[in-house]
Amino acid sequence: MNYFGVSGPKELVEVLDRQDYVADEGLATALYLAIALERPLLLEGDAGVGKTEVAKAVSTWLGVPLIRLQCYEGIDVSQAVYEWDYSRQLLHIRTRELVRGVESDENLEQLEDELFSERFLVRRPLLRALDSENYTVKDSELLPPVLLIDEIDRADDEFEAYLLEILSENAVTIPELGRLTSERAPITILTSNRTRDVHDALKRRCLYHWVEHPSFDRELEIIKRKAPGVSEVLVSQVATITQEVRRLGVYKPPGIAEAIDWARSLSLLGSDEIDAEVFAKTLGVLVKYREDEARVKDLDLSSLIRTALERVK
Amino acid sequence: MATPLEIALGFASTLRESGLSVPVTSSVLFSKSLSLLDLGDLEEVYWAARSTLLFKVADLDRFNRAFEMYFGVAPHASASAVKKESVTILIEDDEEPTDGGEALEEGEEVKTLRFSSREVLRHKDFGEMDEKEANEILDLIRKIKFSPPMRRSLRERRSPVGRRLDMRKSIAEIIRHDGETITMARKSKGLRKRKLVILCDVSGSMEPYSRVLIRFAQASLWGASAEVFTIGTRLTRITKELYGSDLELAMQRAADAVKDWSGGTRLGESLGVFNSLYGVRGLARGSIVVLLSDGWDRGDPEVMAKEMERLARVAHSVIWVNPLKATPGYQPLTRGMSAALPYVDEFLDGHCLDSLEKLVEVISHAGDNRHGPKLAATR
Repeated sequence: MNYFGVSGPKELVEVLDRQDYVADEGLATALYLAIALERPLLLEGDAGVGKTEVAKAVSTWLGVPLIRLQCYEGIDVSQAVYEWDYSRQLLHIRTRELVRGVESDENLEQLEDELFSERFLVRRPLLRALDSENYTVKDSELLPPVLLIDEIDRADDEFEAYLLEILSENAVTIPELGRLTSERAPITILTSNRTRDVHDALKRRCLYHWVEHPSFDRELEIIKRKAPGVSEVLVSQVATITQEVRRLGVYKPPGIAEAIDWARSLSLLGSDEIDAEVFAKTLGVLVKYREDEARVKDLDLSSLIRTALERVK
Repeated sequence: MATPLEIALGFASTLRESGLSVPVTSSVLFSKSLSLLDLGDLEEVYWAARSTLLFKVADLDRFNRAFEMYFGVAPHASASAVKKESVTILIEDDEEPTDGGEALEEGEEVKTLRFSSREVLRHKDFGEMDEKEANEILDLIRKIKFSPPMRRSLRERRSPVGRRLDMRKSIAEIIRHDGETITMARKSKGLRKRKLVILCDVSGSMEPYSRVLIRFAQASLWGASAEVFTIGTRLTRITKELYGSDLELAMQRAADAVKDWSGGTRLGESLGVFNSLYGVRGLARGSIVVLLSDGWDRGDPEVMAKEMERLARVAHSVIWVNPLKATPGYQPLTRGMSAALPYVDEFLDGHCLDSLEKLVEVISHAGDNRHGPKLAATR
């Protein structure tokens, strides 16, 4: 079977690779199935392992809009789904009054219909994801947008329940307008940093994948892609040391994003190689807690640098 | 060759036999997935199974074993790197001063005491109670009413004296009044429960109090939305176990889950595990954190201080309840306790029913006071 020109997980790895997203087979399989089965994909993992980037890569691959909903404590329907444009509604009432004078009962009903029509609807991310405007047809195939629901663990449980309803029905009901739905579900990716457990019911609805920190080879490849122009030796050193720091059991293990930033910073400072001095100066890019810094300083830097050099050869 | 459906159902039942719960909808999803993939490629099959049938990373080990059992091939090496949910901290020696408190066994019957004796009971130290009194007290703790700590929420409510205009309501009013603006509806920020996290020390020295304090934590689940952990030599999350209408059964479930009852104490390190796995990640952020412990720590006081500081930095307030505090002449001199004290917002005793009721009072007010987490000025 062929979905958007891709016939299996291995091909998806290649396609994402062209978008500079280096995926492993586990993630590719989960993503492929999510697309084929039209199910949301829930990605969990430490901060900075590239959960959000997946959605961006898919959106550039398909050339479809990326619609992002950033969750936070207290998020509700008016910020996530829709709201009415009240100031324009008021203006409309006034204008009508000026033109027509006092309203008859019949007109009032008409006014209400006008006010609560699509014209005055403010579409928030979840509604936009169902909006035909964001669906494109390519080679007679309907391409849905990518919907990224970021950090779902920050939202409240009530919101999760509401989300579950939208995701399983692929429809939103607005009392004044009725049910809005789309022909094909958006490609939906949810991410969670696991500050709390997402409800089982939502997990059951989704495909689930735990995103690990990348292996050395993958990390090397990613840094090369995302920080072009940085020397091979430096990239290898950055990847080697980053992997080692993760193994130390620091409070906040550096993610791939930190490794990329570090490689870029080193390159900007004109270093071709890491030595003890440069390491101490730029450490703040890699670890973000004072306690972690202290632990990282105990690393056997010279042996790590040697390992990195051997790996390049 | 077996069909995708047969494979899916077979594997699902293997998973169930290994104790994982697999909803039928998920096994159907797995079978659909298989029909989309190359069945000869076991790595793809593995990842399909994982993304459709596994819901918790914690279950991964069992899942992998079941996979190997059913498909005859161990999952790919990269797949078995697992994050451990709970971390055991080794203790070199377990010699702890254990109070001579009576073991609080389950009683056969509970007699209702008369008012006067109940009054006496209110102030009696849990550590000095006989079994009958202990059972009576468990019953009384169940009746403690929690009013949850509150915080401002983003979600707004209608309120005639609110600061912001409720446009939705106002527009509806205007239409009702023939397009005439008469009054504008208002709204204000609502109140929401603030998270409550209870960490209960279950080490040997706390033995006379642990059972009572866990019952207290259980009571808090209903009124306030609490998360409950036990600390000792390891960290155990017992929130789920404590739920349920049969309190005794729930207590039993929790007791089974906790593997380090009356063991030693590595308070600082357990706290570190809590911080790393739950607390700093978000659970303790903006929450009221209640530590029920005598502060007896065999670990390094430096670690204790460091972890308390981390906790205090994210929590809204930290309340330390120490049953020993009520002892006349008590000074918080144990190394752990004195290391922790600079980061504690409220230091209370919790040795009797009366003091627990005071604790409930403090918790419900801890939510609204403005002062943030108290950071040690001494560092």
